[in-house]
Amino acid sequence: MSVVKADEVKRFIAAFLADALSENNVTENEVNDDLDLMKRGIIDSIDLINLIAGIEEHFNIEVDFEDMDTEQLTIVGPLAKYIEERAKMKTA
Amino acid sequence: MSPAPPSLISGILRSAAAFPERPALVVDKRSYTYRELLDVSSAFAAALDAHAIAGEPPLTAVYAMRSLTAYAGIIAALLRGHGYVPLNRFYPPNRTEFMLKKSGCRAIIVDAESAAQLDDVLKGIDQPLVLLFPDLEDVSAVKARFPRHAILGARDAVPGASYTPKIPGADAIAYVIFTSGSTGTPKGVMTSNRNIVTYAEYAAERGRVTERDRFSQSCATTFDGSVFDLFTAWLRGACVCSPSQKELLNPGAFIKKHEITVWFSVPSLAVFMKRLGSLKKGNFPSLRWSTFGGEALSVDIVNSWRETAPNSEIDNGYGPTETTCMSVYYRWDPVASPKEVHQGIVPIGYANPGMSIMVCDENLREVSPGERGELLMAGTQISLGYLHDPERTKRAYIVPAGKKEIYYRTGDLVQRPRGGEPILYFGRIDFQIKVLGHRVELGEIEAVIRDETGAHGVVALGWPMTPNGAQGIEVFIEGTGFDLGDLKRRISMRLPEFMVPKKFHVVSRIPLNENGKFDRLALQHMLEAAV
Repeated sequence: MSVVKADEVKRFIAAFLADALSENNVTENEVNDDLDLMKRGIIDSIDLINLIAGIEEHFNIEVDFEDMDTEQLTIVGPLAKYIEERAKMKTA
Repeated sequence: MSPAPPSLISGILRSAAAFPERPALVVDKRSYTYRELLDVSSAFAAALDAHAIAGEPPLTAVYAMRSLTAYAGIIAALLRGHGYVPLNRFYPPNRTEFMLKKSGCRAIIVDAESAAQLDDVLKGIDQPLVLLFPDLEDVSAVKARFPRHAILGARDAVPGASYTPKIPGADAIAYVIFTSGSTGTPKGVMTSNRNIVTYAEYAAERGRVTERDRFSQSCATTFDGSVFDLFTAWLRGACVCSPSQKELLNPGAFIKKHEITVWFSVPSLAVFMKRLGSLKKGNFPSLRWSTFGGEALSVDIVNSWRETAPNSEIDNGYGPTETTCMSVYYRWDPVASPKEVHQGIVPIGYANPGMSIMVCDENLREVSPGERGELLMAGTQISLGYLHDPERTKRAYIVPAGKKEIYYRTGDLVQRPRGGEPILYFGRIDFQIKVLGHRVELGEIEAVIRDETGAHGVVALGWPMTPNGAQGIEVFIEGTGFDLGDLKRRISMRLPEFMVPKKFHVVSRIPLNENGKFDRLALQHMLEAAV
């Protein structure tokens, strides 16, 4: 299994949500660590599940999200970081 | 057990008297005892009474969500002898305005987060209102915003003063919850005190609820599943634990953190939890009673849930808002139930005590046992009808030939049980679907799009389909030259998010079936082929 980097996850999120980002007038440069996808109306809870499924499929990983701080689940930086750490734990 | 209280508020007061220091509510990271919750609610009620507008209808609106103000607001309405009308800040302001106008409410309780949209909600309301903002110390800015209305703030509703509750009659309205209507406007279902007390007392008995229980609160108060959590708990002195919007994204963590014992949600939320990795062996040991309702329940969910919550009984609940929360129940039995599952779907079970059913053909004649037809229900949980809408009430609440009682036509297709069989559910007989547990009339969406575009050929479909309904809506429009981005924005101003189409397919012609109607099945196949 390959190592997943948080930056790759962030790039994937931006690409995966490209349509929704442009519909909400969010430019690619604005997709930074602090962007809360739900607060900005870019995703709802169903989109979140689709995004997670997309990430898992793309990086060929399975991530258990229950232990993640719910407040941070829809914020780009912490979400990508969590996925990087979890993928590392699975590989180790 | 003491006899059933005559009204919802007398039942809540009975719990508050028996368990004043036990927790009644957990919200916004704080716990409130029955005494505290009642103190706050009484202060709201006293403030509104002191400024009550003469001749107001006995309904108080609560424009608040998942805050102390939201829950105390509901109790305050009941303390006033009123029914509550829940409003939702995630609904488009003009839908909220419609609900306010239809209900004729002259008193509204507003929490901090909902206040921002009030300009849009109130712009079409001509009558002066009384608005209570319990979260605002200083209301001078709000007063300037709404000069026509009486504005009250936290200083007008200081807890501690005594308040004499006004106990309503059993037939008085306890709440009005709006559901999607096929002709383009929502319908306000009037539920009486008798309806909800009968139901919640039965539910409390069924789940052997005590003051030590801790209930989840997964549904918005504008969805009638919420009345199970609130009133089953509050009639027995138990605690309601309300997750924040963010906490709702990870319900599993919430169950563990708050040691929830009684769970209710739509099955979709369990599917969601499975996707997040929460449904694993023995993960929810605190749960002892779990109920799913609002959508068809698949046996896969039941099996995952049994593993995850090994100490929990599992119920499948069924019931339209018009028959008061859940009026038919099925208790999962590990031995007998697998044989009763039909095509992977759990039966909806047996009518509650005091309720009777008929299964009818399109001429409202009862079909034979084992045959399918529309489910009609009568009994103590049948609500009072649609608020200020005698026409639609007359169509849905009927007295079938040879019967004396009013039956509600559910529009749901079921199999009439043979002998002691449970009722099996097969979906809708019309164009209503479930999107994430919400009832959606496809006709309402189509009517709004026709109105916005002038197009006649408009078909809305649930897509992608799930075992429980659909994840969202996709729409076919006949014609050319639509500005779809703009159309979507305009629709979002009229319909709640779960009804706003995710995608539009502009076509030159919508295919017709042999009856000359839009061929919905052919369009469904087009969506399937596109995947």
